Amino acid sequence: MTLPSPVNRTLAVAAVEDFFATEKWQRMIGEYGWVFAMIDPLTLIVSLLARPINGVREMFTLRLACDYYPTHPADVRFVNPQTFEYNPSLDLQHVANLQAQYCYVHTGYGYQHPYKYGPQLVCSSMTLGYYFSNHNPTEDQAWDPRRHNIGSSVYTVHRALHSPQYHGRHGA
Amino acid sequence: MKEEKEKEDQKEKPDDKRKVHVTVLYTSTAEDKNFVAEPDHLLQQVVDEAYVKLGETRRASDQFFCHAEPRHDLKPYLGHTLRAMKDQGICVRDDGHGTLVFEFDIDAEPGGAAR
Repeated sequence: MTLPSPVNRTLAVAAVEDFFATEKWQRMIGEYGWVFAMIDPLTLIVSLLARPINGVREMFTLRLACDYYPTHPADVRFVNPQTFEYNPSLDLQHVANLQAQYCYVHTGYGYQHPYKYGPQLVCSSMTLGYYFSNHNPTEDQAWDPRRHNIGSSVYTVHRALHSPQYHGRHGA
Repeated sequence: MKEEKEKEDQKEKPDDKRKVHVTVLYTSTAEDKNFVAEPDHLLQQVVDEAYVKLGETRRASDQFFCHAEPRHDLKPYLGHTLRAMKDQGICVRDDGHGTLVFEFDIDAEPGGAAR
């Protein structure tokens, strides 16, 4: 597959703004308790809760890079909530152990091509890294900018965090 | 006034006569639709109608969950009526005002891989 190219910045910023202006997604954000913050117009931080394990409900922080959005999904990574970065030798405990077929987290993926957001891969067709990592979705599974948006990506992680395929924190 | 009367009428009906107010959420697009179903409709029929209302095509990998936590997997109940689901405490409930409600999600399956 041809590697994606970044989107014109003005268009990407407008698409991010569109997402936040969409009422139906605002309802989802409120209902699921996702908390968004913005580092810059194309870099978002999202906090979201996982299902309880042994009575403990963990919170995780995602960093979304939207420079290929909306033509392609945002890059999605679990990050340290203090630094908003992911250092694989220091930050494993900030990464959720997700083993869902539709959302599998690799803490250090062997990308074949240089990928500026590696080495973590939240492997789902709703995230950008999937398309840089030699994976090919079926037509039904592929990102469709007419139907999908940032919320589709965050929901995919939220869904996995609330599924039996969530196994707590990496490195725990 | 009319709405209140309808609610009162519903409240007075036995469960097997009360219509079920259905809300379906297609989670990957956040699109939702509302419609009314008969209590003796099979869940399969309700799901089929939901796809039509949403304008979505059903895929073999789609999953159906009760919207409320814990999200019961509804696939085992496709052959059950809404009334039977209410009797078993599966997702169909009285909202406390005499209305039977059934809120469910359709989760489409994105691609992903363990390698």
